[in-house]
Amino acid sequence: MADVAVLVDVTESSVGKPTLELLTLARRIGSPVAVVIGGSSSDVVETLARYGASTILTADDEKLASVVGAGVVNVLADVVAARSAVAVLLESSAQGKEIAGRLAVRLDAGVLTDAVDVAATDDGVVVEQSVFGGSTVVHARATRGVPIITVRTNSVAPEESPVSPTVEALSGSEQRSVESGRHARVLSRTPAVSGGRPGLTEASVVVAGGRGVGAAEKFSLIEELADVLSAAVGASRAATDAGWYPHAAQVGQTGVTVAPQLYIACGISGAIQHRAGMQTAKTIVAINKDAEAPIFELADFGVVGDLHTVVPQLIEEIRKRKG
Amino acid sequence: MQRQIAEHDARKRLPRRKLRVVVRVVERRATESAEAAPNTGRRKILQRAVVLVKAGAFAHIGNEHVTQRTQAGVSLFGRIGAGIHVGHAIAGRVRLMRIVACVKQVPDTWSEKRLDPADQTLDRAAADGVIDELDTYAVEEALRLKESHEGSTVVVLGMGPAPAAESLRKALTMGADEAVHVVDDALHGSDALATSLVLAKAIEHVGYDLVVLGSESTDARMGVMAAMLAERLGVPQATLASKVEVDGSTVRVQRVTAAGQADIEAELPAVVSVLEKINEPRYPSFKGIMAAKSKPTSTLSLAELGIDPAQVGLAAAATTVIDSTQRPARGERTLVNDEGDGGTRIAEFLASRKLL
Repeated sequence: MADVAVLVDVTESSVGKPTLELLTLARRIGSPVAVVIGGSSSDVVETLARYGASTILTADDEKLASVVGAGVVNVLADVVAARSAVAVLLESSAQGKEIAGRLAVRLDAGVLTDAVDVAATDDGVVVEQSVFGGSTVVHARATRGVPIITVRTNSVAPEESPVSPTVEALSGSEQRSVESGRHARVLSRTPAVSGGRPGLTEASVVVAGGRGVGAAEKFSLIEELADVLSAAVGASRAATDAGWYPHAAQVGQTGVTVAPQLYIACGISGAIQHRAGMQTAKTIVAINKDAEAPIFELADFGVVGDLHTVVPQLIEEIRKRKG
Repeated sequence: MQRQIAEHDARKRLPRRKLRVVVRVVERRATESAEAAPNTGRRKILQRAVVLVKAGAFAHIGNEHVTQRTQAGVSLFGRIGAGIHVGHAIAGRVRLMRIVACVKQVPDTWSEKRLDPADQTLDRAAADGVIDELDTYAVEEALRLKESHEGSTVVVLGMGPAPAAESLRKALTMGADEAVHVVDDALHGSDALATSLVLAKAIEHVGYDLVVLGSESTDARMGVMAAMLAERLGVPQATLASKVEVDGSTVRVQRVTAAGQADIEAELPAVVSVLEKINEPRYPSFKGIMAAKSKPTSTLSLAELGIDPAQVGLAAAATTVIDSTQRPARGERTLVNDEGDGGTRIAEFLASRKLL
């Protein structure tokens, strides 16, 4: 089977869930070649093999990660050329998209972002994309070069498919290493503080608060509901603009796009700005005082009521059921 | 930096005139300082500095090999503590920059968007066109950098059909100095690769020290353009910025991604993309709106950029849309009024979907 290059994300010495999803999708169109840049370990190799990476290529040159963009692109361009890969899969994160963009220019190849599925066809790899905030579903393919595809997190459930992988250290890193001066250098890094909650884009459950929450301190109620569901906390633009919750948590057109299994919208009217960031969630629950709120057009289950009484009852009920 | 300025001069653009202004300011400030100097020794040193800076700066305009003399004069200023700001400007520590801010005209964020069934491109007639909100942060950041680096210039650059000029005009009313609009019928349906090719050529044509753009567009939301431009221009990519500072010929950026924050730096020229809320974009003032009418606005065609029309447009795209469908309305929906049991009913619903 043809090789499919997969860029591996290693965070805090373990393989991220988005990578496991990429490996699962890669197996649908070929044989996954996992490319690990920095941070490879026996644990990482073991996990990648369990999810079907038949080849694992490692590049541990620190210089590659010390510049923004170019180092990773150099490695991927080499891998694509050396292995005649039929596709490159990356996570649809901001960095993943940047790498995809540079690689597309380097290889003069089509780039397809925010894919939610991939399939092998007679015309090559076809992706399904969800565009305009999920209001339109598109099938697309590259017409030139190897398709470079970024995949939205939570598009597929990771499936194990153990293999005995071939592990190779990528040699010739000196040729790939990058001249300083022409690249942005990383001086220091500060890992994101999650506060024990899952990341917004990766979480399978998201609880979000909007204008109806009413005040910054009332967001503790949203957080409490999130915690009983092991969920991430999101917010509408109205709430972040009011300064009630950090901007990084903003779900919507100009913020984060999420596609969790369950999205609970509390006191969010559901303006198109917000819907664009969450309407591909599998199940949507909404609580709002206004029965006419557009969020109810999307909600599988809606409650017209005051979130300040509905949410505490919901938390209580979930605790009871979970024992 | 000298190379950049030399290039600007070759095109008879602003920096030469601006440098002359700076030189006049140096002269005046240095002369004032010299006259006010408390003793003869110091006065003499200052007068010498005036001569050096003036000679150096003028030479600097026309010749890139005389910076040492300028710097000698400037360091004299520095030691004495006079005219430091202007001195630094010439020494390159406070840099006169040509900042290119890229803006895209997009369907209003608050409107419904759809694909044109005929060719699967964005139906731009279906919604009002506005300047991309995320690009207004880029324009604002460019204006702030200009303000902290007196004598710098902000050029707004856009590509798109004729109505896109409206977005460029908006940026001029905010305070940008000039606008460049790449407009050509052959561009319709261009993909990200072609767009980056055209913008990169236009940026080189315009001349730049720094390119600033939004981290993604609110319509396509691909988030690839800044990285593509860095790759095409062969300059550093200092992207996803929540903070931007320029110190001399170095740009420092606080880069924010889902993984966390990184402090990065790069030598100019460079490409910077900015995140939403990096700043509060200004509203155009009445003065700004009036002033915009007389600001230079030019258009560029593909021919002027030396781009073969066969390299751009829908036919040259490296990707193609096979089909598109509006997402079907969601299935069965339940809406209930809270009668004191709203929370319990949600829990029951979640349990029925095996979500608890």
